[in-house]
Amino acid sequence: MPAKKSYAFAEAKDYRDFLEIKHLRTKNHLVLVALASYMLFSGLYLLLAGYPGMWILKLMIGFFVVLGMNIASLAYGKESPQFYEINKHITTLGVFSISVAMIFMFQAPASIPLLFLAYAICAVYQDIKVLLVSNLYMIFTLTMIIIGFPEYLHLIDGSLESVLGMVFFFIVFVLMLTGSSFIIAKQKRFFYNQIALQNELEFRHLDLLMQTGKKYVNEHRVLNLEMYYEKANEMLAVFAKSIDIENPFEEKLALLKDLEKAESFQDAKEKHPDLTEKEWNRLQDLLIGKNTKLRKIALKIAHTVDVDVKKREIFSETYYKTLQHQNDSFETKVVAFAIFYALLRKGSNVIRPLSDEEIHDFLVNTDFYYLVDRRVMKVYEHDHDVFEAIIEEAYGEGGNA
Amino acid sequence: MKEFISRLMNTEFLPMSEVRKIKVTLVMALLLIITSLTIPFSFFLDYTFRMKLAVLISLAVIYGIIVVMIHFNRIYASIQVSIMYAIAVTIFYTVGTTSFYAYLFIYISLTILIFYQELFSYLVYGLALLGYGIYYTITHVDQLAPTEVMPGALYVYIAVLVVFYLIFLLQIIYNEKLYTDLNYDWVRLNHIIEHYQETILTYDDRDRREEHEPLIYENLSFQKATDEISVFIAEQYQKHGSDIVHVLDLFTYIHERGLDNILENEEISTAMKKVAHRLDKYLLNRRTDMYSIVLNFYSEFVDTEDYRENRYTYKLNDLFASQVERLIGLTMLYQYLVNEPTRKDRWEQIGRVIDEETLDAFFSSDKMHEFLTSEQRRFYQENKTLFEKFLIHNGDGEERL
Repeated sequence: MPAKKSYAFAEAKDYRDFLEIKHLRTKNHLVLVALASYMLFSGLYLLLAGYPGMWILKLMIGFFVVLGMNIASLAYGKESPQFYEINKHITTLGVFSISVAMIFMFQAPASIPLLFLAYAICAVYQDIKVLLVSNLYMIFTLTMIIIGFPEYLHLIDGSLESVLGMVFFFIVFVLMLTGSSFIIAKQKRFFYNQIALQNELEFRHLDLLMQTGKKYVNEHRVLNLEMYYEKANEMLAVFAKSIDIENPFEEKLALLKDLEKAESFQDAKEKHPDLTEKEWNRLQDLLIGKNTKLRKIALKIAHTVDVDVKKREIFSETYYKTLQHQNDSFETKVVAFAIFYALLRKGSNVIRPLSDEEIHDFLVNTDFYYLVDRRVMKVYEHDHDVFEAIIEEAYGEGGNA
Repeated sequence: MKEFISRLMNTEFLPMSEVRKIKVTLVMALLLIITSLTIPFSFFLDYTFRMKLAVLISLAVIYGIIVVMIHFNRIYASIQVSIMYAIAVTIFYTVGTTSFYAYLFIYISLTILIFYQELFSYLVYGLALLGYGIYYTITHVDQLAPTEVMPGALYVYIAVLVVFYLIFLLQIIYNEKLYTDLNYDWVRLNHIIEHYQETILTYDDRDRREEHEPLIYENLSFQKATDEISVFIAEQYQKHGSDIVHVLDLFTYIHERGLDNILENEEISTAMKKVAHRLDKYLLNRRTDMYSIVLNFYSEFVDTEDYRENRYTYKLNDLFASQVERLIGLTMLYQYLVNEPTRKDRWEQIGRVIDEETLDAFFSSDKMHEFLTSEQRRFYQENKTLFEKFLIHNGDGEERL
């Protein structure tokens, strides 16, 4: 069994976590609504069924504690997302404890499905740790009831069939719930990861685009910065005049123009002694002549202008790029990997040839692993020195074309 | 089995189609357990021997049909049949016995529906199950809920079942919306990245032409490398591994003749046309999935700046501290976009600028939200004449005529 792979691009982790927390907040709202409804219906039933006031009071206190924790976590979660994390576990334990308390209060089979209700509420989090806690709590409670309090299920005089039926089908039910929640939680991770991965890929493609385009800008076209700053200054001066304010842009434009030419902070400091390093770093993003953020924005806009997503394209897996499409034959998957590997080893004018070590490390240890057919990967992992030998023979010593 | 568990544990790296297959396989495993348990349990059920035998044989046959469906990748159909199978088992048990475990089957079947996370199936089959569950509770209230133990137990059963259904309905609707939004972002980013890749490959091709290098698929050392790697992998699994060379020959042939010509050629067999069609996404004469995967993989080796919190931010407002800097940024962006060539010209080279009308339409559209605030867009609208009068020039220093 291949070891668990790590996500490619460590930089994407923060964005993945950001997506997780952003949606966890919405899920917390859903749980809050479910909890409040649970409390309302329980209170109403206890009142109508004429249960003692003390019982109702104790149960309501339990509900209020869990609800209070949820509301507090939602408020403090804005400051520190850890509150959301803690809240998930407190709510899970709280909801299950309330359901178990009710089972002991009612001592009847009708109260057993309250455990399923608790499970349903906690499943909203779509979290594997919550799933584990829920499972343990549910299995422990059901085992305890079947062994210690069979009268709750009316099993005392029950047949062997009833007891075995309860045990077996409870196990099947818990297995089903576990499998379901596990895959749903994983699927959610898949989406978050794909979005985070695309963001990082976009950032790196913009870098690559600027690096490859640089040659073009130098050899075929000169970015006339003098003109850029002169025109911007003229336009903004007219704008400042039109709204009757002193031109606040001129000085900043002059500074930026100098920064375009400066090779280092020290260079810039000589001409602008008041310039701080922090300001220097910040203003680098505003320079259009260098490979900086502003240039990235310009390139992103230029490549976004024509992008129009049609509704039918959503959920289309055509965009999921892999070397092991389900409908492809084994031969096609082999050929696809061979082309992929040979291309990376050969390189081109815009991508440098990669070594086998570089390819092997990144391919085998990250989620790129799953883009290749497992049988093909098995051969590559086991015999990648043969691949190296083939490439050396084809491309020459060192594998460079 | 090992392989299946490995894939199950790594579902967050797999596309939806793969996950769907895993889900249905998992459901089938659980249905196999249930069906196997049904054989001994059927002795206790209140049916004639003939009836039991007929049901068990039918279940076995339908089970076999679903397995065949999965084998031939008919995943949607197998999902539907497996749901109906679970409902049939539920009816078989609930009609055959009054024990509490039969009631559990209603929850087990609902969980299978939840597992698939298909809104339509959950609404149709789920509502049918819910209706059946309520009917069953009302008709079997004496066995399920002795009134002397818990007053109004019938209503508790019904209320819990309904709330259980509703919570998961809410969760499925929420997931559906969330995944639609995430998918939209994902497809959009995919398109944008593909555009970057097209530009990068255009630069690559221009450099190749300037250096008089052959096309990659015509390069003999590349052909030798792909041939030998493919044969080596294929030989590990097949007796005649060298047959794979025919697939590679076809791969080169598609480049020479074009896919359409091959598909229209009556002399070429249907099987060969199928392979050709599957190879199309890996061709090397334009941006294909192959180039996308290669460039995505290569992104790891691109020089990129260290991680900063605003790495994926492209909005001027979030990047620059003052209004002055933001407006300077806006004028520079406009100048770059309207004066620098960022799109292909008639010679398929990056030699054309975005025309003013297109840029104006884009600046005025909602798509600019990613880069500008409403105020900045209003600034542009109100000062459009200034932008056009001062900022449109040829970036190389010449005034545009």
